[in-house]
Amino acid sequence: MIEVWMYFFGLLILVSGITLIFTENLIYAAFLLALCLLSIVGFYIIYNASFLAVIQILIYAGGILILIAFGIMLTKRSPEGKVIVGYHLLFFGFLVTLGMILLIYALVVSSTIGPREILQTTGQAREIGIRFLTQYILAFELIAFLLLVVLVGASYSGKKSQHA
Amino acid sequence: MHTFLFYLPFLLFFVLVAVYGERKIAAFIQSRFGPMDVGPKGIFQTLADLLKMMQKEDIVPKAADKPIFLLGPILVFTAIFAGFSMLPLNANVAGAAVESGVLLLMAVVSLDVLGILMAGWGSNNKFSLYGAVRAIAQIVSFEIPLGLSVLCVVMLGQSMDLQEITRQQGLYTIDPIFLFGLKGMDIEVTQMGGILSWNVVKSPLLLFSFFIFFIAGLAEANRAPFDLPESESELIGGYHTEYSGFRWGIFMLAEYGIMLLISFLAVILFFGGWNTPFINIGSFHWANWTMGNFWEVFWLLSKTLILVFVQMWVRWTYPRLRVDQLMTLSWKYLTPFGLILVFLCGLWKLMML
Repeated sequence: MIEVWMYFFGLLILVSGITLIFTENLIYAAFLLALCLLSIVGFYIIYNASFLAVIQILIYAGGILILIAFGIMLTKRSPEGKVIVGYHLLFFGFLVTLGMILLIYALVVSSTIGPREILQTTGQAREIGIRFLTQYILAFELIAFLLLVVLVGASYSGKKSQHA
Repeated sequence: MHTFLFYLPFLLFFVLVAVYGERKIAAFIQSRFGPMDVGPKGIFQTLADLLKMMQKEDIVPKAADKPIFLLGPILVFTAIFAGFSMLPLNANVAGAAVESGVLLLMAVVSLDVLGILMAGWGSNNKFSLYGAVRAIAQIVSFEIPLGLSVLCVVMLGQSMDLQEITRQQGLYTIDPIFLFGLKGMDIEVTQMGGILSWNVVKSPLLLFSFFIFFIAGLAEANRAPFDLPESESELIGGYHTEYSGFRWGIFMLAEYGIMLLISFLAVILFFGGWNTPFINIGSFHWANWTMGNFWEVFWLLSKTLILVFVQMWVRWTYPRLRVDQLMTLSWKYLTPFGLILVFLCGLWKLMML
């Protein structure tokens, strides 16, 4: 049964991802991105990473995607009522993609965490919290500080453009 | 499983009753009669409305983006109904076995924004788009104070599982409960149960958290005084202007669904969930007598319906806010107060240990 769901979500990720790239309608692309990100949630749940699944929904599907869609909604439509995208810089895009794939592959291969280690079902949130506040406290605080700076910067630039 | 067997029929029945109830409550508050004609005291008014709605043609505007337009309302309802799967029903029937239940509930419910966006954009109508933009800005902003107020409860209970949070607020608790949570006072009320072990009494600061939660919840549900996305005087009907018939009905179902969901969540987080309000005093074991499978369901539902009533009461009492007032309320008042409360709850937790 698990395999069936794996193939189902995998197919969904592939189909939505590829259609996302080739569709010319920008708003469709945004919703396909939502489908793609939510299918990844399916994979997390299959592998018992329930906390990660929740975070994926909360941050990617619920947060970042909304921002993207919001940005698209406020852009101007073409006379046919669609936001059309074109394809440029194919060569450099190909290079960047290839680089990313190699980077991710290298990371996956060199990773020391085996699949068995993540498979515990209970206490994930607690474990992650404790690790964040002990082992990875510096990175955690730095990211928190970065986000704070971004927040202040965003509110400052928003205020400035209002008075200009 | 009980989500489909219990919550879905309950939700449908609730919508039937609540639409009628809301109109009657509104009429009572404004010294009117409300629905009077269909059946005695007009109780079949909603059924008649439903019948009319089902017969309407499912119109798709010519200039609309058809797939997105058709999918929008379904996504809104799916997202909200998925939230119900995390709710416990009584001590023996827990929700979905997700360890971080509250977080998942909020995450899934926040996805209804996508459906609203689809509806607003797909309609290809300026009013709908404005409604959707307002709805999303509002929901995304108010999610922060909502999350902060939930965080207070999670911090004090040290669990994100809704069933576990409920269990801590009654007779079935594992940890001893002290009056107002203060261990220094040394008055143990574990065996008394009832209202004394609810979260709002266990740590009275949570009462303020509840107010923030309730206000943010109203905004999340797009209910008055925060119903700017569908303000009929400015935007006709907001993001569901172009919908007719059953698709419009799904939006209505979703609106009442999230009202109910927010009330359920408030009851579970702050008012003891399925625990009885009565206290064991001396030889009168009121709390023990009013606990059991059916009693627990009764308490959960009755407390929830009281909160739903309060939501309706608020709707017909306060005027609608302006957009800038709405944003000011969220970012300048509720969010800082929420942060202060998180800090104070941390201090309270130290006294509870």
